[in-house]
Amino acid sequence: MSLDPPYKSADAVVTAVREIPSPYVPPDVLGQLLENMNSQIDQINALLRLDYATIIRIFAVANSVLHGNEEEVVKVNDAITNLGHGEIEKILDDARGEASFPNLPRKLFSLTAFWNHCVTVAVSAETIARFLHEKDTERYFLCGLLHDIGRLLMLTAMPRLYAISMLEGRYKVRSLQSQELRIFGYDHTEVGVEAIRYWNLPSFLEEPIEHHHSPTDSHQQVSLTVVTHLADAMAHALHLGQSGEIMMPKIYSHQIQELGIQPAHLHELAVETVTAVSPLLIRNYSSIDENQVR
Amino acid sequence: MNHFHGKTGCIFTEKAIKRNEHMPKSYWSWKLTFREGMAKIRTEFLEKGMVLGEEIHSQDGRSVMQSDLKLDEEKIELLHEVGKVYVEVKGVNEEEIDRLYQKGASEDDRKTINQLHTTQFSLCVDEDRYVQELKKISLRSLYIMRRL
Repeated sequence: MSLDPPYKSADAVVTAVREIPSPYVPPDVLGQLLENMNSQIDQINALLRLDYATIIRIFAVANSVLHGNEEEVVKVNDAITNLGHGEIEKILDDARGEASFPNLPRKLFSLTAFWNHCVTVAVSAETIARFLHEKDTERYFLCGLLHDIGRLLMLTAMPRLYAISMLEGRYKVRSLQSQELRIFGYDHTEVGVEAIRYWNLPSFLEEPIEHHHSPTDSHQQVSLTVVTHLADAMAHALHLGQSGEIMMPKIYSHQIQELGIQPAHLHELAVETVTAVSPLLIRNYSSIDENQVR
Repeated sequence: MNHFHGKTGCIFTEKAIKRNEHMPKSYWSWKLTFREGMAKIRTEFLEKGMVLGEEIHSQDGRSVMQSDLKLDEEKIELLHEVGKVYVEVKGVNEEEIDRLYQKGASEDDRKTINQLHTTQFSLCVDEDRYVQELKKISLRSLYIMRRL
Protein backbone atom coordinates (compact mmCIF):
# COMPACT_ATOMS: atom_id res chain seq x y z
CA MET A 1 0.00 0.00 0.00
CA SER A 2 1.27 3.45 -0.90
CA LEU A 3 2.07 5.76 2.02
CA ASP A 4 1.27 8.78 -0.09
CA PRO A 5 -1.45 10.69 1.78
CA PRO A 6 -4.49 11.55 -0.37
CA TYR A 7 -4.80 14.98 1.28
CA LYS A 8 -1.67 17.07 1.01
CA SER A 9 -2.55 19.79 3.50
CA ALA A 10 -4.40 20.31 6.78
CA ASP A 11 -7.15 22.39 5.18
CA ALA A 12 -7.74 19.71 2.53
CA VAL A 13 -8.48 17.23 5.33
CA VAL A 14 -10.95 19.64 6.94
CA THR A 15 -12.93 20.20 3.74
CA ALA A 16 -12.95 16.46 2.97
CA VAL A 17 -14.83 15.52 6.15
CA ARG A 18 -18.51 16.40 5.91
CA GLU A 19 -19.79 15.03 9.22
CA ILE A 20 -18.09 14.63 12.58
CA PRO A 21 -18.53 11.10 13.93
CA SER A 22 -19.51 10.74 17.59
CA PRO A 23 -20.75 7.83 19.71
CA TYR A 24 -22.83 10.15 21.94
CA VAL A 25 -26.56 9.52 22.14
CA PRO A 26 -28.28 12.51 23.75
CA PRO A 27 -30.36 11.39 26.74
CA ASP A 28 -34.16 11.54 26.41
CA VAL A 29 -34.27 14.19 29.09
CA LEU A 30 -32.54 16.60 26.68
CA GLY A 31 -35.45 16.31 24.25
CA GLN A 32 -37.88 16.99 27.08
CA LEU A 33 -35.89 20.03 28.20
CA LEU A 34 -35.86 21.41 24.66
CA GLU A 35 -39.61 20.95 24.28
CA ASN A 36 -40.27 22.79 27.53
CA MET A 37 -39.94 26.54 27.00
CA ASN A 38 -39.41 27.04 30.73
CA SER A 39 -36.34 24.83 30.88
CA GLN A 40 -33.29 26.29 32.47
CA ILE A 41 -30.70 27.05 29.82
CA ASP A 42 -27.90 25.80 32.09
CA GLN A 43 -29.52 22.35 32.21
CA ILE A 44 -29.60 22.17 28.41
CA ASN A 45 -26.04 23.46 28.23
CA ALA A 46 -24.79 20.80 30.68
CA LEU A 47 -26.04 18.03 28.38
CA LEU A 48 -25.22 19.62 25.04
CA ARG A 49 -21.68 20.62 25.83
CA LEU A 50 -20.50 17.07 26.52
CA ASP A 51 -20.46 16.13 22.87
CA TYR A 52 -17.79 17.66 20.66
CA ALA A 53 -19.84 17.03 17.50
CA THR A 54 -22.90 18.82 18.89
CA ILE A 55 -20.85 21.76 20.15
CA ILE A 56 -19.19 22.16 16.76
CA ARG A 57 -22.55 22.18 14.95
CA ILE A 58 -24.12 24.64 17.38
CA PHE A 59 -21.28 27.16 17.19
CA ALA A 60 -20.93 26.71 13.43
CA VAL A 61 -24.60 27.55 12.90
CA ALA A 62 -24.67 30.35 15.50
CA ASN A 63 -21.64 32.01 13.89
CA SER A 64 -22.78 31.44 10.31
CA VAL A 65 -23.71 34.26 7.96
CA LEU A 66 -27.31 33.05 8.04
CA HIS A 67 -27.67 34.07 11.66
CA GLY A 68 -26.07 37.41 11.00
CA ASN A 69 -24.58 37.99 14.44
CA GLU A 70 -22.32 41.03 14.42
CA GLU A 71 -20.27 39.70 17.28
CA GLU A 72 -18.73 36.27 17.48
CA VAL A 73 -20.76 33.88 19.64
CA VAL A 74 -18.31 32.42 22.16
CA LYS A 75 -20.52 31.03 24.92
CA VAL A 76 -22.66 27.90 24.74
CA ASN A 77 -25.55 29.62 26.53
CA ASP A 78 -25.46 32.50 24.03
CA ALA A 79 -25.44 30.03 21.13
CA ILE A 80 -28.47 28.20 22.59
CA THR A 81 -30.34 31.48 23.12
CA ASN A 82 -29.42 32.66 19.65
CA LEU A 83 -30.54 29.52 17.89
CA GLY A 84 -33.60 28.74 19.98
CA HIS A 85 -34.79 25.37 21.19
CA GLY A 86 -36.32 24.41 17.82
CA GLU A 87 -33.09 24.92 15.91
CA ILE A 88 -31.11 23.00 18.54
CA GLU A 89 -33.55 20.09 18.21
CA LYS A 90 -33.11 20.18 14.45
CA ILE A 91 -29.33 20.12 14.84
CA LEU A 92 -29.58 17.11 17.13
CA ASP A 93 -31.95 15.34 14.72
CA ASP A 94 -29.68 16.02 11.76
CA ALA A 95 -26.71 14.66 13.68
CA ARG A 96 -28.34 11.33 14.49
CA GLY A 97 -26.82 8.51 12.53
CA GLU A 98 -25.44 10.63 9.72
CA ALA A 99 -21.74 10.43 10.36
CA SER A 100 -20.15 7.06 9.80
CA PHE A 101 -16.80 6.06 11.14
CA PRO A 102 -14.46 3.43 9.67
CA ASN A 103 -14.24 0.18 11.58
CA LEU A 104 -10.71 0.26 12.94
CA PRO A 105 -9.15 -2.43 15.15
CA ARG A 106 -10.18 -1.65 18.72
CA LYS A 107 -6.66 -2.05 20.01
CA LEU A 108 -5.67 0.87 17.78
CA PHE A 109 -8.61 3.21 18.11
CA SER A 110 -12.08 3.30 19.61
CA LEU A 111 -14.46 6.18 18.95
CA THR A 112 -15.98 5.74 22.42
CA ALA A 113 -12.54 5.87 24.02
CA PHE A 114 -11.77 9.00 22.01
CA TRP A 115 -15.01 10.63 23.18
CA ASN A 116 -14.17 9.73 26.79
CA HIS A 117 -10.70 11.22 26.36
CA CYS A 118 -12.14 14.50 25.06
CA VAL A 119 -14.60 14.79 27.96
CA THR A 120 -11.89 13.91 30.50
CA VAL A 121 -9.56 16.60 29.15
CA ALA A 122 -12.45 19.10 29.12
CA VAL A 123 -13.41 18.37 32.73
CA SER A 124 -9.80 18.34 33.83
CA ALA A 125 -9.19 21.72 32.15
CA GLU A 126 -12.24 23.16 33.88
CA THR A 127 -11.07 21.71 37.22
CA ILE A 128 -7.64 23.27 36.80
CA ALA A 129 -9.22 26.60 35.79
CA ARG A 130 -11.31 26.59 38.96
CA PHE A 131 -8.19 25.80 40.98
CA LEU A 132 -6.55 28.86 39.38
CA HIS A 133 -9.64 30.98 40.21
CA GLU A 134 -10.29 31.72 36.53
CA LYS A 135 -13.70 33.31 35.97
CA ASP A 136 -14.70 31.95 32.56
CA THR A 137 -14.10 28.23 33.09
CA GLU A 138 -16.29 27.25 30.14
CA ARG A 139 -13.59 28.40 27.74
CA TYR A 140 -11.20 25.92 29.34
CA PHE A 141 -13.80 23.16 29.06
CA LEU A 142 -14.31 23.84 25.34
CA CYS A 143 -10.56 23.93 24.63
CA GLY A 144 -10.20 20.54 26.31
CA LEU A 145 -13.22 19.12 24.53
CA LEU A 146 -11.96 20.08 21.07
CA HIS A 147 -8.17 19.86 21.54
CA ASP A 148 -7.78 16.64 19.51
CA ILE A 149 -10.49 17.24 16.93
CA GLY A 150 -7.84 17.35 14.20
CA ARG A 151 -6.91 13.75 14.96
CA LEU A 152 -10.50 12.62 14.53
CA LEU A 153 -10.66 14.41 11.17
CA MET A 154 -7.43 12.78 9.98
CA LEU A 155 -8.70 9.37 11.07
CA THR A 156 -12.05 9.90 9.39
CA ALA A 157 -10.53 11.11 6.13
CA MET A 158 -7.64 8.63 5.91
CA PRO A 159 -8.40 5.71 8.25
CA ARG A 160 -6.10 3.08 6.77
CA LEU A 161 -3.08 5.30 6.42
CA TYR A 162 -3.61 6.75 9.88
CA ALA A 163 -3.91 3.24 11.35
CA ILE A 164 -0.60 2.34 9.75
CA SER A 165 1.03 5.44 11.22
CA MET A 166 -0.33 4.45 14.67
CA LEU A 167 0.97 0.91 14.38
CA GLU A 168 4.39 2.05 13.24
CA GLY A 169 4.55 4.61 16.05
CA ARG A 170 3.80 1.96 18.66
CA TYR A 171 6.44 -0.43 17.38
CA LYS A 172 9.09 2.24 17.02
CA VAL A 173 8.14 4.05 20.27
CA ARG A 174 7.40 7.34 18.56
CA SER A 175 4.74 9.84 19.51
CA LEU A 176 1.69 9.85 17.27
CA GLN A 177 2.26 13.53 16.55
CA SER A 178 5.74 12.82 15.17
CA GLN A 179 4.27 9.98 13.11
CA GLU A 180 1.67 12.35 11.66
CA LEU A 181 4.35 14.83 10.64
CA ARG A 182 6.52 12.09 9.17
CA ILE A 183 3.79 10.42 7.09
CA PHE A 184 1.34 13.22 6.30
CA GLY A 185 3.57 16.30 6.48
CA TYR A 186 1.18 17.99 8.91
CA ASP A 187 -0.20 17.01 12.32
CA HIS A 188 -3.52 16.96 14.17
CA THR A 189 -2.90 20.36 15.78
CA GLU A 190 -2.66 22.00 12.33
CA VAL A 191 -5.77 20.18 11.14
CA GLY A 192 -7.56 21.16 14.35
CA VAL A 193 -6.87 24.87 14.06
CA GLU A 194 -7.83 24.85 10.36
CA ALA A 195 -11.11 23.21 11.33
CA ILE A 196 -11.82 25.83 14.00
CA ARG A 197 -11.41 28.58 11.38
CA TYR A 198 -13.34 26.73 8.65
CA TRP A 199 -16.33 26.09 10.93
CA ASN A 200 -16.32 29.63 12.39
CA LEU A 201 -15.87 28.35 15.92
CA PRO A 202 -14.82 30.86 18.63
CA SER A 203 -11.36 32.21 17.87
CA PHE A 204 -10.10 31.76 21.47
CA LEU A 205 -9.93 28.04 20.63
CA GLU A 206 -7.25 28.48 17.99
CA GLU A 207 -4.07 28.83 20.06
CA PRO A 208 -4.88 26.14 22.65
CA ILE A 209 -5.70 23.65 19.88
CA GLU A 210 -2.69 24.56 17.76
CA HIS A 211 -0.19 24.63 20.64
CA HIS A 212 -1.44 22.18 23.27
CA HIS A 213 1.69 20.11 22.57
CA SER A 214 3.93 23.19 22.31
CA PRO A 215 2.61 25.75 24.83
CA THR A 216 5.76 27.88 24.57
CA ASP A 217 4.50 28.96 21.12
CA SER A 218 1.34 30.44 22.58
CA HIS A 219 1.32 34.23 23.01
CA GLN A 220 -2.31 35.41 23.14
CA GLN A 221 -4.03 32.60 25.08
CA VAL A 222 -1.21 31.37 27.29
CA SER A 223 -3.32 30.27 30.24
CA LEU A 224 -5.86 28.43 28.05
CA THR A 225 -3.06 26.72 26.14
CA VAL A 226 -1.00 25.62 29.16
CA VAL A 227 -4.08 24.39 31.02
CA THR A 228 -5.19 22.38 27.96
CA HIS A 229 -1.66 20.95 27.78
CA LEU A 230 -1.74 19.90 31.45
CA ALA A 231 -5.31 18.59 31.25
CA ASP A 232 -4.30 16.40 28.30
CA ALA A 233 -1.39 15.01 30.34
CA MET A 234 -3.76 14.42 33.27
CA ALA A 235 -6.20 12.45 31.11
CA HIS A 236 -3.31 10.32 29.83
CA ALA A 237 -2.15 9.68 33.41
CA LEU A 238 -5.65 8.74 34.58
CA HIS A 239 -6.19 6.37 31.63
CA LEU A 240 -9.74 7.60 31.26
CA GLY A 241 -10.46 7.31 27.56
CA GLN A 242 -7.88 7.17 24.79
CA SER A 243 -7.04 9.51 21.97
CA GLY A 244 -5.11 6.89 20.00
CA GLU A 245 -1.86 8.16 21.48
CA ILE A 246 -0.39 5.82 24.10
CA MET A 247 2.62 8.03 24.95
CA MET A 248 2.55 10.73 27.57
CA PRO A 249 3.20 13.98 25.68
CA LYS A 250 6.30 16.02 26.49
CA ILE A 251 5.57 18.02 29.68
CA TYR A 252 6.33 21.77 29.72
CA SER A 253 6.93 22.09 33.46
CA HIS A 254 8.19 25.67 33.44
CA GLN A 255 4.97 26.92 31.81
CA ILE A 256 2.82 24.91 34.22
CA GLN A 257 4.75 26.28 37.19
CA GLU A 258 4.37 29.83 35.92
CA LEU A 259 0.58 29.42 36.13
CA GLY A 260 0.96 28.69 39.86
CA ILE A 261 0.54 24.93 39.76
CA GLN A 262 3.07 22.95 41.78
CA PRO A 263 3.81 19.21 41.32
CA ALA A 264 2.17 18.51 44.69
CA HIS A 265 -1.11 19.95 43.35
CA LEU A 266 -1.42 17.31 40.63
CA HIS A 267 -2.74 14.57 42.90
CA GLU A 268 -5.52 16.77 44.22
CA LEU A 269 -6.40 17.84 40.66
CA ALA A 270 -6.44 14.19 39.58
CA VAL A 271 -8.91 13.21 42.31
CA GLU A 272 -11.12 16.21 41.52
CA THR A 273 -11.07 15.33 37.82
CA VAL A 274 -11.98 11.68 38.43
CA THR A 275 -14.81 12.66 40.75
CA ALA A 276 -16.26 15.18 38.30
CA VAL A 277 -15.82 13.19 35.08
CA SER A 278 -16.85 9.72 36.24
CA PRO A 279 -20.63 10.19 35.86
CA LEU A 280 -20.16 11.70 32.40
CA LEU A 281 -18.16 9.00 30.66
CA ILE A 282 -19.66 6.48 28.29
CA ARG A 283 -19.61 3.26 30.28
CA ASN A 284 -18.48 -0.24 29.43
CA TYR A 285 -15.15 0.85 28.17
CA SER A 286 -11.85 0.05 29.79
CA SER A 287 -8.88 1.95 28.45
CA ILE A 288 -6.53 -0.57 29.96
CA ASP A 289 -6.07 -3.13 27.27
CA GLU A 290 -3.21 -5.54 27.15
CA ASN A 291 -3.36 -5.34 23.38
CA GLN A 292 -1.86 -1.91 23.69
CA VAL A 293 1.32 -3.43 24.98
CA ARG A 294 3.85 -3.65 22.25
CA MET B 1 -24.57 -8.83 46.50
CA ASN B 2 -24.76 -5.22 47.48
CA HIS B 3 -21.23 -4.15 48.38
CA PHE B 4 -22.31 -0.83 49.78
CA HIS B 5 -24.56 -1.89 52.61
CA GLY B 6 -24.24 -0.59 56.15
CA LYS B 7 -25.38 2.65 57.66
CA THR B 8 -22.16 3.72 59.25
CA GLY B 9 -18.65 3.65 57.96
CA CYS B 10 -19.79 3.94 54.36
CA ILE B 11 -19.01 7.12 52.48
CA PHE B 12 -21.81 6.93 49.97
CA THR B 13 -25.47 6.39 50.68
CA GLU B 14 -27.67 4.01 48.72
CA LYS B 15 -29.29 7.03 47.11
CA ALA B 16 -25.95 8.29 45.88
CA ILE B 17 -25.08 4.88 44.53
CA LYS B 18 -28.36 4.69 42.61
CA ARG B 19 -27.93 8.18 41.23
CA ASN B 20 -24.59 7.18 39.77
CA GLU B 21 -25.36 3.58 39.03
CA HIS B 22 -24.11 3.88 35.49
CA MET B 23 -20.69 4.75 36.78
CA PRO B 24 -18.06 2.08 36.14
CA LYS B 25 -16.95 0.43 39.35
CA SER B 26 -13.33 1.38 38.85
CA TYR B 27 -14.12 5.07 39.17
CA TRP B 28 -15.93 4.46 42.42
CA SER B 29 -12.78 2.86 43.62
CA TRP B 30 -10.82 5.98 42.77
CA LYS B 31 -13.17 8.07 44.82
CA LEU B 32 -13.38 5.64 47.68
CA THR B 33 -9.73 4.90 47.92
CA PHE B 34 -8.08 8.18 47.34
CA ARG B 35 -10.33 10.76 48.80
CA GLU B 36 -8.09 12.54 51.25
CA GLY B 37 -8.44 11.41 54.84
CA MET B 38 -10.55 8.41 53.94
CA ALA B 39 -8.34 5.37 53.85
CA LYS B 40 -10.61 2.72 52.39
CA ILE B 41 -9.10 -0.63 51.57
CA ARG B 42 -10.57 -3.56 49.75
CA THR B 43 -11.12 -6.47 52.11
CA GLU B 44 -8.92 -8.69 49.98
CA PHE B 45 -5.98 -6.39 50.80
CA LEU B 46 -6.46 -6.39 54.57
CA GLU B 47 -3.45 -7.53 56.54
CA LYS B 48 -2.88 -8.71 60.09
CA GLY B 49 -2.03 -5.86 62.44
CA MET B 50 -4.08 -3.20 60.69
CA VAL B 51 -6.43 -1.21 62.93
CA LEU B 52 -10.07 -0.94 61.91
CA GLY B 53 -11.21 2.67 61.60
CA GLU B 54 -14.98 2.16 61.51
CA GLU B 55 -17.71 0.09 63.05
CA ILE B 56 -18.82 -2.69 60.70
CA HIS B 57 -22.47 -3.64 60.35
CA SER B 58 -24.15 -6.60 58.71
CA GLN B 59 -26.81 -6.13 56.06
CA ASP B 60 -29.57 -6.23 58.65
CA GLY B 61 -27.89 -3.45 60.61
CA ARG B 62 -26.39 -5.52 63.44
CA SER B 63 -23.00 -4.47 64.69
CA VAL B 64 -20.43 -7.05 63.60
CA MET B 65 -17.20 -5.40 64.67
CA GLN B 66 -16.29 -2.35 66.69
CA SER B 67 -13.76 0.18 65.43
CA ASP B 68 -10.21 0.39 66.81
CA LEU B 69 -9.81 -3.39 66.73
CA LYS B 70 -6.49 -4.80 65.55
CA LEU B 71 -7.15 -7.20 62.70
CA ASP B 72 -6.11 -10.83 62.96
CA GLU B 73 -6.88 -13.68 60.56
CA GLU B 74 -10.19 -14.42 62.22
CA LYS B 75 -11.38 -10.83 61.98
CA ILE B 76 -10.26 -10.51 58.36
CA GLU B 77 -12.22 -13.68 57.57
CA LEU B 78 -15.26 -12.21 59.30
CA LEU B 79 -14.99 -9.02 57.22
CA HIS B 80 -14.91 -11.12 54.07
CA GLU B 81 -18.08 -12.88 55.17
CA VAL B 82 -19.82 -9.57 55.84
CA GLY B 83 -19.25 -8.84 52.16
CA LYS B 84 -18.22 -5.24 52.48
CA VAL B 85 -15.67 -4.44 49.82
CA TYR B 86 -14.15 -1.37 51.38
CA VAL B 87 -13.30 -0.94 55.01
CA GLU B 88 -11.59 1.96 56.66
CA VAL B 89 -8.33 1.34 58.49
CA LYS B 90 -6.35 3.70 60.65
CA GLY B 91 -2.78 4.80 60.06
CA VAL B 92 -2.52 3.67 56.46
CA ASN B 93 -1.33 6.32 54.03
CA GLU B 94 -1.72 6.48 50.26
CA GLU B 95 1.69 4.95 49.58
CA GLU B 96 0.64 1.99 51.67
CA ILE B 97 -2.60 1.67 49.70
CA ASP B 98 -0.54 1.73 46.49
CA ARG B 99 1.65 -1.05 47.89
CA LEU B 100 -1.42 -3.13 48.72
CA TYR B 101 -2.89 -2.69 45.25
CA GLN B 102 0.39 -3.70 43.67
CA LYS B 103 0.74 -6.65 45.99
CA GLY B 104 -2.76 -7.80 45.08
CA ALA B 105 -2.04 -7.86 41.34
CA SER B 106 -1.17 -11.08 39.58
CA GLU B 107 2.22 -11.55 37.94
CA ASP B 108 0.63 -11.20 34.48
CA ASP B 109 -1.14 -7.99 35.48
CA ARG B 110 2.04 -6.61 36.93
CA LYS B 111 3.95 -7.40 33.73
CA THR B 112 1.29 -5.79 31.54
CA ILE B 113 1.06 -2.71 33.73
CA ASN B 114 4.83 -2.24 33.85
CA GLN B 115 5.07 -2.51 30.08
CA LEU B 116 2.26 0.00 29.57
CA HIS B 117 3.77 2.36 32.10
CA THR B 118 7.29 2.17 30.69
CA THR B 119 6.06 2.75 27.15
CA GLN B 120 3.78 5.58 28.20
CA PHE B 121 6.56 7.62 29.78
CA SER B 122 9.37 6.70 27.42
CA LEU B 123 9.45 10.19 25.88
CA CYS B 124 9.41 12.07 29.21
CA VAL B 125 12.23 13.43 31.33
CA ASP B 126 12.38 11.23 34.45
CA GLU B 127 13.88 13.89 36.72
CA ASP B 128 11.03 16.35 36.11
CA ARG B 129 8.91 16.62 39.28
CA TYR B 130 5.69 17.06 37.29
CA VAL B 131 6.49 13.92 35.32
CA GLN B 132 7.20 12.07 38.56
CA GLU B 133 3.76 13.02 39.93
CA LEU B 134 2.04 12.05 36.69
CA LYS B 135 3.87 8.73 36.78
CA LYS B 136 2.53 8.06 40.27
CA ILE B 137 -1.02 8.94 39.19
CA SER B 138 -0.71 6.77 36.09
CA LEU B 139 0.64 3.73 37.92
CA ARG B 140 -2.05 4.03 40.59
CA SER B 141 -4.78 4.25 37.92
CA LEU B 142 -3.41 1.24 36.08
CA TYR B 143 -3.37 -0.90 39.21
CA ILE B 144 -6.83 0.16 40.35
CA MET B 145 -8.43 -0.39 36.96
CA ARG B 146 -6.68 -3.67 36.46
CA ARG B 147 -7.96 -4.97 39.77
CA LEU B 148 -11.61 -4.12 39.26
